[in-house]
Formats: sequence, C-alpha cells, structure tokens
Amino acid sequence: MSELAVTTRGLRKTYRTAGRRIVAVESLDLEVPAGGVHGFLGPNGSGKTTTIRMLLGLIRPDEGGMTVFGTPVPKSLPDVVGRIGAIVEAPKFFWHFSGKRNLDLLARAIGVDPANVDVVLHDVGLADRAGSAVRTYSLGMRQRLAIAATLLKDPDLLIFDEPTNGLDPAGIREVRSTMRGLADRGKTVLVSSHILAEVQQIADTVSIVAKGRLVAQGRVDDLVAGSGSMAVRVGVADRDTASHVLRDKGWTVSDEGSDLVVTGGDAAAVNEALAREGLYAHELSTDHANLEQVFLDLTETEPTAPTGRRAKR
Amino acid sequence: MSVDTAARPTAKRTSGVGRLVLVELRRYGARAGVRWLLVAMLGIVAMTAFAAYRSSIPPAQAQLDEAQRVYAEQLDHWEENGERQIQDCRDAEAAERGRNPDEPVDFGCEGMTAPEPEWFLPYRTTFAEAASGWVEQLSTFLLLVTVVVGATFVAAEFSSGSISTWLTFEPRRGRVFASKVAVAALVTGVAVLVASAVFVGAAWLVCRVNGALGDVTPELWTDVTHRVLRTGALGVGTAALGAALAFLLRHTAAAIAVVFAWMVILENILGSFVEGYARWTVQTNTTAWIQGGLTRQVGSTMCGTDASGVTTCDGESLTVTMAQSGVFLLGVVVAVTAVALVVFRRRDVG
Repeated sequence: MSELAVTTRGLRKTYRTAGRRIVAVESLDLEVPAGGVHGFLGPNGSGKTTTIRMLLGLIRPDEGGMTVFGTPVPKSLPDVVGRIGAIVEAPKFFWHFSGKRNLDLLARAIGVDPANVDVVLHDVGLADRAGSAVRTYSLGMRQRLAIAATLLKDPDLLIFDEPTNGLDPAGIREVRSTMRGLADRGKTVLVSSHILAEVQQIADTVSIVAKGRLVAQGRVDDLVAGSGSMAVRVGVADRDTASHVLRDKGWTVSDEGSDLVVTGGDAAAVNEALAREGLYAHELSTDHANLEQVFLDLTETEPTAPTGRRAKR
Repeated sequence: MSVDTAARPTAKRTSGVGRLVLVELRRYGARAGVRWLLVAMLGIVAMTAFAAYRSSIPPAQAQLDEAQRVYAEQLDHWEENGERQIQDCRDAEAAERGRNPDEPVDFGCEGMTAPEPEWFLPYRTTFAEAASGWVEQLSTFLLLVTVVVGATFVAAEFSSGSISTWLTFEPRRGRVFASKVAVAALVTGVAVLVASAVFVGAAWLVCRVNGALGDVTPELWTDVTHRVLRTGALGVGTAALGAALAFLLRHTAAAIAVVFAWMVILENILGSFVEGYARWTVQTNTTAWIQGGLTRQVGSTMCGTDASGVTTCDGESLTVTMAQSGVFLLGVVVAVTAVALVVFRRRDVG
C-alpha cells in the first residue's frame, strides 16, 4: 500500500442540539493516499466538514483516531501543521483588513518570509486587489485569497472544503485546474464536495460518505467500473416489440424519449437479441456510469460499516 | 491561477509565543475599532482636563463685582445685627441645656463671625486639592474603556470566523490565547498609563494657567504618581479581563453585558442586601487600589457630640488595604482568565 496522507479509525462525533444528540460522524475509517486528488464526497450534512474540522483540531472527536502523514492528530498536530494547508467552508478573514495584510499576519505567525505574500497573491491572480479590504472581495476572490493563504506554507497536504461554492463557471474551472496542478506536483489534495460529477473530473481516488458513515472508497475508475450501472441506449423503429424482446432476456428496459435504455446487458448482447428477431437498431450506445450513479446506488439503503473498498450493504 | 511553489522562498516552520505576540501587536495597531477606542480614551482625558480647567478658573470681573456687592450687604447686616444674633444663639443654647442637663449641647455660637469676602466668590479648586481625586475619577472611565478594548480585540476574531483560519496555522491554543490576552492587556495598560499621565500634565498646566496650583508638595506628586501607576496596572488587568470574557462569550456585546450585570445586579443591588458584601465587591477593591487603601463607614451609622463638643459616629468600619485589594483584583482576573483558557482549549471552534 502506498503512503497514506490521512487516516481515520473509528472516528465518531456527535452534537447536542435542543436536548437531542445528533450523530455527525460514525465509525469513519478513511484512507487518503499521499499524492493526487482525493475526493471526499457526500451530500450536505453527511459529515464531511465535521471530519475535516476534526483533522484540523478545530473540533474534538468523541471517539476514534486520526493521523496525518503518520502523525497522530490532534495530539501532535503542531508537529505536522506546517505540512497542511486548509480552507474550511467559506474563507474567513479579517474583513476590514486588506487581503495582503491578512496574509502578512498569517505568514508572520508561522515564520514565513512576508515576501512570499506577494508571490502567492500573484499566483492566485489577486495582486491587483491585494491592498483592498477583504469585505470588498467577491466570494470567488475570497476563495482565491484562501488558496493563497494555504500556499504560504507550501504544504504537502491541501484540504479544500467545498472550494467551488459560490464560484462562477470560470472560477470553478480555475480552482479545479489549480487542485489538479498541485496534485501533479506531488501534493496531496483532499477536496470535499457534494457535487460528485465535478470532483470526478479531477479526482484520482474518492471516499463517499452518507449520514456520517463511509459507504465506499477507492480509485474512481474502480468504483465506476464495479458499480454495474452501465446502461445501453437503443434507438429502434418498433419500440414496443423491441421492449418485449429485451425484457424476455431478463434485462431492465425503460423508455427515455425516443430511445430505450437497457440495463443488465452489454451493447453487443442487446444488438444480437434484437437482430435475432429482425429488429435493427439505428442507434446503439453505452452510457457509462458516473460517480453520482455510484453514490445513488450505494445510498439507496442505510449505509453500514465498510469493509475493503466498498461498504457492505 | 498558476501556482509555482518551487519559485518561493523556503518557509521556516517554527513558531513561538514571541512571534505570535509580535503578530498580535501588528493586528492591534491595525484594528480600526481599537484605534477608535483609544481615541475615545484621549477624549475622556480631554474632557476631564477641561472639567479641571473649569473648576479652577479664576472668577470673572462680573463675579468679583457681584461678590463684593453681596459681601458689603452681609457685612452691613452683621454690623447691625451680629451681636444680637450671637446673644440669641447663646440664650437658645442655655435653654436647651436647661431642658436636657445630661446631654451634650453645642449650637456653635462661638463660631459665628463677621462675613469674609471669599465666602461670596464661586467655588474654585486647586491642583493641590483636587489632583488625586481627578486621577481617581478619570480611572473609572478609562477602565471601562479598557474592558471594551480587550473584549473587542478578541471577539472580532470569533465574529469574523478568522479564529478558525488562525488555528489552522497555529493549533496550539494555549499559545494563541496567551498571545492575544497578553497584547490586549499590556498595550491597553500602557495606553491607560499614558492617558493618565497626560491628564495629570494637562491638569497641572490648566491649573497653572488659572493660577490655581495651590500648595503642590513632593508628597502630592508622590501620591499622584502612585495613583497613575496603579491605574495603569489596573488597566492591564481589566483589558485582560475583557479579552478573557470575549474568549468565553465570543461577542463584545456579551462581554460588556456580563460586566454591566456584575456591577449593577451583583455589586449594587445584591450588595445592598447582603451584610459584609461590600468588602468583596470589585468596586470597593478598585477604589481601595487606586486610593492606596480605603477606610469608610458601612451599614447604619449613629452620630453624636460629646460634652467637649467633639462629634463622633458609631458604626461598622470597613478597611481595605492596598495590598488586600491588589490580591483580590488579581485573583478575579486570574480566575476568569484561567476559566477562559480551559474553555478555549476544550471547546469546538466553528
């Protein structure tokens, strides 16, 4: 197994709200390989931000252990914090200070040469607005300022929590390419998101959580390939007859506009079955499953503790 | 966005309280809110100095003329009726003694004298008479400001959420806490010290301009200097208290509300019902600290005049030495700060 950047074992966190105890994270065993982009995926409220906050020492777990590059956190977080750059939810700065002053204070706090501030501001395209108060920045600019702050430490692990929230399409693409670029330079990027399709484009590996529990983790390609969610889209003139023929084979058939969508058989088998009955497809294509379909498949039922790469259901 | 980390100077990955303190000093100086509160502090100094000027100002010619006129009237009245008024007083005193032979009776007849011109001039104080009291009055306002300065310095980080960003750079919460409280306390304390010293200089100057310095002795300067120093030391404590309350409550308004509730509800309202409570109030101990010790009557008091004409009052006397008040106030600050530190170290940061 390659080196792990982040691990969690039996992680649990509950909150007390209005006299009730709400489980935010339950028995979470997470493994983030060093190097590459790791997507930490799940719907809103699934425990992603809580997990990240626990990794960063902002909140205390009720149970379980965590490591970052093999160092137990939060106990020894000070030993490894210099290797971590993180943005948790919306970037938070002193609103009345300029972007440059905010970064200057952070740089001095960790003993980084303040000259680096100009460099990172230039890197994220904020050099022109460096002297403006943060309260005048758009959300996208604040996200870029937060990325600049993480880069001050030249970290080995970058944690981005929903980094594209509120960004326009161009901003989303910029952030995406920045994360991919950092990973290509050997950094580990842990990015949480509830938009699975977006992360699928850049992630090498993913962990999927629902209701505070891990439901799957592994390489994106493996998860998608192993999902069994591949579908064949068929365009045929006599749709009623074709539908009967395909159902007789035991496959699932659904009408989608002018096409039939078949799951359970591959394109060749579908084509052969139709041809045997004198039906000829004028269109035949395979719809590959994506992470979103994988996620929906995995979360149709209550998730349980994972074993191996996928959670047993 | 193009990121080239290789082009960057190497980061030093060490951290210490000293570095954090220097960063907090920069932040302190850059905060507009803190700057405005320091301006408010100077405003309080200016207003108190103006009050000193007004109370020591020499009477205008019109006031002198009016005083002379009233004096002349009263003198004529005394010359005409004075001896009779004294005799009437003695007769009334003798009659009272006849009615109550066992009681000491003194109507103060021997003290009845002819009027003097200065009785009719407006009240005018001197630096020598009032300087110590002025410093004490000024300290009340300055110390309230220091609580706000200390609280807003820390609470701003919680309200903006920047404390969570800060902790991802320096997760050692003890160091973060110490650096913020230390800077809030020390810088604000120095500001109070400077403001108090500036006030004393301004008050001396305006009294000198008004020709109202009075008998300024070395002992007076010693007393005033000690009061200024003690006010500065108290400013360190109250700013630390404000910062600690902000760590606990995470909001400036909440910290101020707690201080207000403590002073008004616990110390004034509750204190008036609980016997012996005055000894343990922050207000009593603050006064004792600034004055260098305090003795005053507490509870119900009975006064009387003995046969020799000396008036005495019976009642419970409260004495708080400067050392006692210092230990008490330090204890309050240390206790609140310790609780705030424990809570900050353990509590989740949102």
